[in-house]
Amino acid sequence: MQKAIKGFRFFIIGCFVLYAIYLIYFVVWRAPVLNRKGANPRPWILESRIQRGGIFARGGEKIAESLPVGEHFTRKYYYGRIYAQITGYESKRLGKTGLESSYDDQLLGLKGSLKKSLEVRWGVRGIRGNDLYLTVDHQLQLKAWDLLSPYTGAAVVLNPKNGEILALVSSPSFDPDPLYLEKNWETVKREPGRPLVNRATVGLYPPGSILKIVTAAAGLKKFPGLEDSVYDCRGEIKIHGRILKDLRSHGLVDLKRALAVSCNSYFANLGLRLGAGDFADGLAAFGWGQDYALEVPTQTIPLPRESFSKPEGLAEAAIGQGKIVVSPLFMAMVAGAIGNDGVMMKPYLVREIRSHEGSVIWKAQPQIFRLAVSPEIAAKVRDAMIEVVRNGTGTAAALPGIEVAGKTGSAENPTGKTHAWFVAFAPARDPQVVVSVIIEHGGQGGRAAAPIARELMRTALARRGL
Amino acid sequence: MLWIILALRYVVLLLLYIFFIALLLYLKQHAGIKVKNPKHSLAVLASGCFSVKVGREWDVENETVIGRDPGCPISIPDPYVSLRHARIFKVSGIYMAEDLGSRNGTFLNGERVVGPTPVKPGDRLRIGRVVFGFNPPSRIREDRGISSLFLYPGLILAAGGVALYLNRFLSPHHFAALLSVAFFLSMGSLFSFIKGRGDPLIFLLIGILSSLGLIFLYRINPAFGLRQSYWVLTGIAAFWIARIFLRHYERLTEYKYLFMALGVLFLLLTILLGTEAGGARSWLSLGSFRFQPSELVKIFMVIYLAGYLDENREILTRGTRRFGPFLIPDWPYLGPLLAACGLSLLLLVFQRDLGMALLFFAIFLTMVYAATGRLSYLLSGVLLFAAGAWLMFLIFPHVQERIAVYLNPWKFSDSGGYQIIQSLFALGGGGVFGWGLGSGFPELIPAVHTDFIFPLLGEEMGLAGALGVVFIYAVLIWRGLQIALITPDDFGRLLAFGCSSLLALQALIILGGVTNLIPLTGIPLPFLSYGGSSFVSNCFLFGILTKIGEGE
Repeated sequence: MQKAIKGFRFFIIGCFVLYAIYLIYFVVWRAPVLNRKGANPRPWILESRIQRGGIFARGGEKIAESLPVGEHFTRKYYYGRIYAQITGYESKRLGKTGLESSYDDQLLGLKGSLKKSLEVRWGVRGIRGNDLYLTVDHQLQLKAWDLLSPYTGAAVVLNPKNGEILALVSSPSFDPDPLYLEKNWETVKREPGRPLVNRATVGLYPPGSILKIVTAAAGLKKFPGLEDSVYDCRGEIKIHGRILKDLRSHGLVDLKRALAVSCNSYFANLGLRLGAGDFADGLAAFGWGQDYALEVPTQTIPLPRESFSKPEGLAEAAIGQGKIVVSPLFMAMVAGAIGNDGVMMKPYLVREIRSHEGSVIWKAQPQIFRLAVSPEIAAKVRDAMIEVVRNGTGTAAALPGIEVAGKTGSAENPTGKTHAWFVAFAPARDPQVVVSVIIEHGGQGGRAAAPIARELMRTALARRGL
Repeated sequence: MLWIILALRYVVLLLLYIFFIALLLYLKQHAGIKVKNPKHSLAVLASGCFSVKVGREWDVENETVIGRDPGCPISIPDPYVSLRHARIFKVSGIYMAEDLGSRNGTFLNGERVVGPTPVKPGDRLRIGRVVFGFNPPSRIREDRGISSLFLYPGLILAAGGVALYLNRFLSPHHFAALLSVAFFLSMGSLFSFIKGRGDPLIFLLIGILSSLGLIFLYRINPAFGLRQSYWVLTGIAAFWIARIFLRHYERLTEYKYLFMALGVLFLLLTILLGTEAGGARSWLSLGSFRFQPSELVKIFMVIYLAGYLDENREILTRGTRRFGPFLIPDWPYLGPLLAACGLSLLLLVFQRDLGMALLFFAIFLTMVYAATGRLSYLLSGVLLFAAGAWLMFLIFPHVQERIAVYLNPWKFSDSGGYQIIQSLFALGGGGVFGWGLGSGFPELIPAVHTDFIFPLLGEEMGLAGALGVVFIYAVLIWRGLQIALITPDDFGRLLAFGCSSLLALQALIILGGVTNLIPLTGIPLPFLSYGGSSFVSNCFLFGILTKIGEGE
């Protein structure tokens, strides 16, 4: 009996030790993941005790805040759909998106503050989160929405020197009001215009001719003196039975003229001369295939190297057709890199985080995303882009008294009329703003997108006293 | 000031760990009692003869003769002992026992000694009506003085009460009730130390567990806390009644069949007249007074098993019939055992109280194993259990649901898995130190005051608190089994073993259930959960256990 009791004691104590080990494992390793599951109402109960921080535009204009209603708080968005793609929404039933999601910890004020976390747990009243101050210029954002809202498309305005996003709109948009959204969720989700998609950051479109600035940069890198040589445009180019057409025969063109008139033959030929490897490297230099995650969901731009292996694929890609796709935000970064001596800045939306009392908790630091091209090459491409606005397809973007560099694009796509693109920066030799505009099925970039870009640049520069 | 009041939410956890430190120091200080006597000795473990007192000890020389003759070094004035009955002698460092041609024989560990037989420390030598232990393990030393440990149950409860009161969980009325229970818990512990005999730590640890339970019950709902307070006081009384008035626990064995009959009667009554609560039809109502008969049956079952197994141990161990390669006992011996167990199980299945059924079966198996030491019983029992579980799985849809929930609770987060998932969220959300007393969300866990009190403890006292509770159970069970190991008589030993393993199994079943380590079967967590029947019967069992540990 003695032996059996001792054996049993060994077994039981072993069981308790096992339980203890399991508890440690569970609490320390499993629980942090588990507790975020949707079935856990605790985080929501705790959050509902906090007055969530507000979201403010650059100049302090109030965009979103939480207002007390009885025991709880409701989220109020003062500019609804104009900022919806940036702020996202915050709903108990639908979850959080946009900045509401990515800066959730800060808006609740719980990040790094054990004291606050405990106070919330213990039911201390009057706990407030931190406020977000955006890089977005409120007047410019309103202007961008006015210009874009009649169309389906997107526009992005950046400061090329530091990567601040001055405006970002995507049309159509949605009303982020949580009550409205919860009530109409199924309808909003199914709307044909897909308003929940942020076209500016996750929309991937064929770039069309705006890609030629990248082809030009790659060409200038591989062939020094390229800008002095000429090419005879016959109105079309035939590669392995595939015909790429121009609107008309441009005759003898150099790089500058070819970009100004957006000559397909010239750039298709240049792409073929570059070869698949150098062309792909040229794209990679500008960040194709590299992650540049913003605070809101962003698409990394794919680099379809395989499609360049056939000459016709390479030629198509060199003029921005075929398998190449980009997002409006990304093209603003590309154009910005040309204007900024080849230095590509990482874009960002939140400039500062301040406590409710107003002290600055965190300040964004501009970061270099890539060194895309040398300053010399950037200057040459810029000169060609100036020609585009002065004497080429982009004259509609010209501003009186200010030199503008730009590029039009009319991207062919399988669903209808071409997408109208325009990317530009101004003043060309010391760019304060870079814009990227796309109007889905808008026709020619020079007609549909360039005037919008011009108005955006005019407003943006006026806001900066230029 | 606000922060001081808020910080009080951690005072219980802090005191619990101070208690652990004090406890470890105490155990270290008293570890000395187990130092082996360098001399070899024979001590009387049990005596059927009035003139030979239990506990009397003789040193063993190179040759020591035992007999009735007053000239013998060990002289036993018992008519069943021959004049020169037996001797113990040393040959090349090994002690041997030898019968010197006595009339009634000499028995070493139950076997008759024929010729010189080696004796090992811990062996039991029966001569006449006297049982000697050779180098017996020392009993827990008597008269160890009073340790300040006795303060802790009351201190922890009172500190929890202050924290709850200042954080506005309690009215002054409830606070006063809580403080009076705290007083009685500490007084009970103090009395344990004063009494000297018996293990004082058992009441102390029960007191700590009850304190923690009460704190959380008052915190969930002061009305629960108040009602449980009465039960805790009743439980303390039951404990001391068992210790003081049960003068000869050995006599319980005489009533074993009565206990069994009472148990079966209670269960039958529950099935016929019982009321349903929480899916199980396991309550009996007498006016406004409700109780769970299975908790009482638990005690009866342990006493019955201890008595029956003690009586038929030899036959059950050896077996008399050949069955394939096995020797099994005859039906007259095995029958009553299996019938009693099967009947209780069957009744419990009718009540749909799976947790209790599992507990009963497990306690049955472990006690049979402890009594006979035969692994084949244990193995065939486990096989039987597996077969039974499989049958239940096939027959009862609610068993199927339980298993499905166990395998993947997340799939049933809105239905059958809700409870276990909320339990896991609570346990995991607490982190290492918890969010402090009163900071969790008990309202999110159904049955939080009964079977699911542990997750709330985890949420508010964290991993530290949860491990603390596991530690207390482990120590309590260790001490209980220690009593079983040093108890000389078989009935007492089996009873002590039954009491401790009952607690062990019950704690393991529900702790494993709420952490989803094993399929959930709801039973109360001993001494912590809300529930009078469970608390009082557990106290009574541990009163018996401590009584057994007191010795004669």
